[in-house]
Amino acid sequence: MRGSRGGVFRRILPVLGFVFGCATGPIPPAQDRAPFRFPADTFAFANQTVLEYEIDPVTRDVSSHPREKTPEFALRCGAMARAARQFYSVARFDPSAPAVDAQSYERLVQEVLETNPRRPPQQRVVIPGYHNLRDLSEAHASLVQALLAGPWETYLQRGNWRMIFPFPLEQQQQVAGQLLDELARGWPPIVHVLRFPDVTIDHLVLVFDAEQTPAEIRFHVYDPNDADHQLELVFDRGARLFSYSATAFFPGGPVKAYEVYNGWFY
Amino acid sequence: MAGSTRGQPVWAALALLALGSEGCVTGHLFDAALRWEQPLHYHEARIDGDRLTVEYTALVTNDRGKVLARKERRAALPLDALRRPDLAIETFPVEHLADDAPSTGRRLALAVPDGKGAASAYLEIETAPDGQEKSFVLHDLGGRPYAPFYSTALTQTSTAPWVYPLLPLGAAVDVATFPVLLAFLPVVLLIGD
Repeated sequence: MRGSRGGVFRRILPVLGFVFGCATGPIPPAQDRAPFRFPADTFAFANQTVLEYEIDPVTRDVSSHPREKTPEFALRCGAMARAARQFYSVARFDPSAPAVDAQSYERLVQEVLETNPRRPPQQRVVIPGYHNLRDLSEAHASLVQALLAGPWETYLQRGNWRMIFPFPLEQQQQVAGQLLDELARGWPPIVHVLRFPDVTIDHLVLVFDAEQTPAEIRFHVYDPNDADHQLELVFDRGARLFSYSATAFFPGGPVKAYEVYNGWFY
Repeated sequence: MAGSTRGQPVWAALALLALGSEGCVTGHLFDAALRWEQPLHYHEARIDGDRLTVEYTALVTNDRGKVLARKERRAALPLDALRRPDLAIETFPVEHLADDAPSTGRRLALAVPDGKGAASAYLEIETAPDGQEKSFVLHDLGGRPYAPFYSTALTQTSTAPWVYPLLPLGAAVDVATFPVLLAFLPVVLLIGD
């Protein structure tokens, strides 16, 4: 009986389910979850760039030089975008509950960060004493920064393989539709914005809302490098082209975009 | 001899895969050669029978948004389509006209949104903060009202001709490097986050 086909099949079923389920399974609909809010659902601190950038106001050319002091918290855009979504989907903040000690917060944050970043979780982690991620990360900035994964999580993000291949206009149009679908399901997508092989921008952001007009789709974006402003990733329906807001390191303009932390291959 | 013959289908399959997936080098060459033309400024509009013809200055840009040139362009838009607010940009029936096509029909005034300079029939143009004329509404006495027309519907894309002589080289590099990329893919997936 142990060697029967049915038995073998039953044993490999969970494995098949894991592999193919992660690759193609639909994301469960959001339950009891309010829309992502900026800045409440974002970190109080920003990811710093290793270099300091200067953008020519006329030509929009970018030059850079090393900072005088090496930033202590840098190259974490991927870790922060991923963690912001994990907190949004996993954490339930309870400001009415009494605050706990730093060790307990460390355990709770760790618990949130250990959940699957690719799917909404089944369980919730209750974080007492704070209204939201912004408050928690403001009060415990060092603790949260220490727990967020280092630069290697961004470098080794599974979907990075995709960036070296081209992005045809039709594919970018599909990405825009895919982002709208994810938002409609209450699952804010994490997007890799880039200009490969040009490295003017190579960045991970969290898309949390969208406004549609006949001419364009304006995706509202949480950029881990900017704790104070929400930015925009705009899809021009006629040009079938994404554009990203001007930032301290990017002059603004066309980019390629694709969703990451999504399925088995990304 | 026999070994090399057996290997041929494998190499052919890899070559097809590489090219079929718009190989890295070839695809990026095409991306770099892609050009967009989008209206910057309208300077003439006419109602010519059942269509509106517009003349405009277009900006030619590359995939980094760099302005490479300005061109004078003309297009015809069916009046029926201009009355339909439900028509998607992607399916709007634009007819791009030859540069030397004769200008015919009733000439319209071009006006800004405050209505200054408005005549009985005019084009009300909306300008974006960056100076690009993003949309217009045709106003004409009599008949049903018109919906806003968004300039991005006039977008034209083309490929710069310099890319074509480079394609054999790009394809050769792709065929050579694609198996390496393919081999690394599982590694990236396994060690990735």
